[in-house]
Amino acid sequence: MTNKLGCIPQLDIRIPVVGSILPYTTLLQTGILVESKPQPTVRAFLGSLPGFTSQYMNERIETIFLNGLPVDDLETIINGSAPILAISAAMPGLAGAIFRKNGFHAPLRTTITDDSSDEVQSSEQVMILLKFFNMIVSERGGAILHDGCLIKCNSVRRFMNYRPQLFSDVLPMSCDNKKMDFVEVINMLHKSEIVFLKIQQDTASI
Amino acid sequence: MADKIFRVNMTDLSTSIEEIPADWAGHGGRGLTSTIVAAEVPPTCHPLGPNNKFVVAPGLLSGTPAANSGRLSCGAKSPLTGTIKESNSGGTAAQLLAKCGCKAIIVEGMAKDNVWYNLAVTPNGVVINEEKEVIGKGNFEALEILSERLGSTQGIITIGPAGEMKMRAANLSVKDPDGHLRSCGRGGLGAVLGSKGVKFISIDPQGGKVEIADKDKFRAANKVFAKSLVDHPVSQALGTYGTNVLVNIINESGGLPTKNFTSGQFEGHEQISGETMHDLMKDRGGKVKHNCHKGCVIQCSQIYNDVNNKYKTSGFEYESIWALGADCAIDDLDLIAEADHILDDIGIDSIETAVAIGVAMEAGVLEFGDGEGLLRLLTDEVAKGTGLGRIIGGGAGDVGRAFGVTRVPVVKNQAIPAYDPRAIKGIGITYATSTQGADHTMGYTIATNCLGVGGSIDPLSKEGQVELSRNLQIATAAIDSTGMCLFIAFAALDDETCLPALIDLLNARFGIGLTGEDVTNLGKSILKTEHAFNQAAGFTNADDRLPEFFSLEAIAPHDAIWDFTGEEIDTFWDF
Repeated sequence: MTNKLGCIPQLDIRIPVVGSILPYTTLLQTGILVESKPQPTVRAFLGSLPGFTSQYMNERIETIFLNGLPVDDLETIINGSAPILAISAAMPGLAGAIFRKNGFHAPLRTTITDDSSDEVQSSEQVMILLKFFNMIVSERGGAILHDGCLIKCNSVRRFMNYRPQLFSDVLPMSCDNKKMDFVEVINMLHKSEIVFLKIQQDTASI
Repeated sequence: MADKIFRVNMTDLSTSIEEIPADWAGHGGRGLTSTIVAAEVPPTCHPLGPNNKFVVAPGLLSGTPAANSGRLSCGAKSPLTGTIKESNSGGTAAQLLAKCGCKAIIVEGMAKDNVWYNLAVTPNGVVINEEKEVIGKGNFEALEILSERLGSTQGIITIGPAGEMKMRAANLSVKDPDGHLRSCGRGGLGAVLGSKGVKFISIDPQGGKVEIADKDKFRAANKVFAKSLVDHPVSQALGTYGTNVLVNIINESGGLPTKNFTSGQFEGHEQISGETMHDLMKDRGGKVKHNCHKGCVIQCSQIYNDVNNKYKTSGFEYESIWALGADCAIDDLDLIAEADHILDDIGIDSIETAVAIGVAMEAGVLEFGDGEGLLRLLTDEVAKGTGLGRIIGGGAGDVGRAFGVTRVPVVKNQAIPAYDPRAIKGIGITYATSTQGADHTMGYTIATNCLGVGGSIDPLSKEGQVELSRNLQIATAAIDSTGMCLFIAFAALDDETCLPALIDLLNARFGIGLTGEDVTNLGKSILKTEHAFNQAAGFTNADDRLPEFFSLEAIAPHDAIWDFTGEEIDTFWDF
């Protein structure tokens, strides 16, 4: 696969049809890279992803962080040369309430200046790091992994090393159509920065 | 059965049952423990001396079928903070005490000659028994022995070895419905019970029940109340990921204190997150949803198994995981669970002790990230009560003083929990002004407007922020008196039926006519009572401050500092 990041390996993982993709979705808490036109709104950006309907964004996504700062408005423009967007369902605690979008307790936030809008904005496509937390991971992660996503190799490697049992029962993994075992995948992930990852159920084995 | 006060004097080993003084009748839970401590404990007494009193009280709704009403409040003058202290917990004890017709137990005096006792509570009062068998035992072994001796259904409130050694961070362990334990974690109340010579309190209601004045109204209100809890999206997140769902988002905000509060983000956050924990529990046959007391409909607790699918810990909370994890730079959830298990077994606060170890790491006692070393510290030093172990068991303040560390995150000598006040200022106001020392649960996310304590000042001004924090603390004090879990707060914030239903529950239970304003006045009265006790104990506005380093050291990634002046904070008490 080739895009502005250059040649990126594609890792395909096929899980048995009796398995579930849900345990793999936790990978998305570290974030996926999504290519976007410059300065999209949060709503427009998320709306391009599978399952992110207007209703879902309005009602389910209760907490949004853009470049480490809480966001109250889905129409907020995503600025910066390497923006980071994190989305979550409702969070507990006073802290959760303070960071909740348009929350009653928002005045208790620390005021921090967002200087990302001062950066020179590129007219070219930008890569947005999108992190999924809380219920959003399990509710939307499966479709993202099924369709495939760009993700940092380091994240995948750490996930595989932390939870190797998840990969013991999978059908052989392949990278750019070349079959690989666990160790070979780990080695491959050491050599690259970003991988295009697809995790799908193996309907061929039915 | 009319509720009574059960009094125990450990000096002369006498017990009595007393009528409830009129001034105490409207109180339960924290309201009652604080009212009794303020009325009967000399504020300047030594917390581990004969003049301090240990008070246990179920909430106003404990023992009824009201959803989430099984919290137990324990109170005393704290050996950790020197202030008044209330610490609460789930488990079975609150409901069973209420079924004994016990409004509160007051334990006073001090046993002689280093003899240990247990207290057996029934509807007939308290019997004092000499105790030998479980002295020196860890909590898990002690609970097993006591379940064998007393049967599995009795309630138990016990101290571990830390309480026996009177460590200032010693907690109280309360048996939960599974026979495991929950903790009244904060403020060293385990040391107070230990100082009395009491190892444990058993509770056997012998079939007793709590009377409800208007059962139909109670049932109707409970239905509305429970539905508001179950339907709320935060309840769904809590039932799926537990409180540890906060790791990722607090890290994202830059408010996850890391390496003894030197950074606001932890590189290994995703390895200790609620999302990761959820998956590990599912893989290992643990329980993702679990209740700490009967009638809880949120079920934020969980059972975390080890790699061999064996029970390791339960009620594995965000604040403990943060303290043992990010604050000590440890990113191995299994190791953190092992440490949590050891802390539970010793009977010592997992927040205070872990923050103390973070300070010790800064002092060079251990390297940051040395998880195995942390386990060794707990088992070889704290559990055995060595010199170093007793310093750590004395809390973060003691470690800072012993090793000359200046970055010591405490307020009124109690460790600041998992939210950096530089990045989340609203919580910093609570830490500074709480009557109990730094405590994130003292000013919770309550619908202050519903209770008639909504802000009147620009909430974006510092004055407005202090006012909002004050209102949260007033509302929280009131909720803490009901026996309700604080996690009802989320529904109370958003669902307009929730708080009225809670007030209806109180009215139906007692046959009274409380209004929202009455509940607010109760909260104000509790805060003022606690504040007056602290002032009489020698505390002043100068104690309502965050440590100096929060104003001197900016925290990454936002380079935020704490910028409230003393004068701004002091307006908190203008009510």
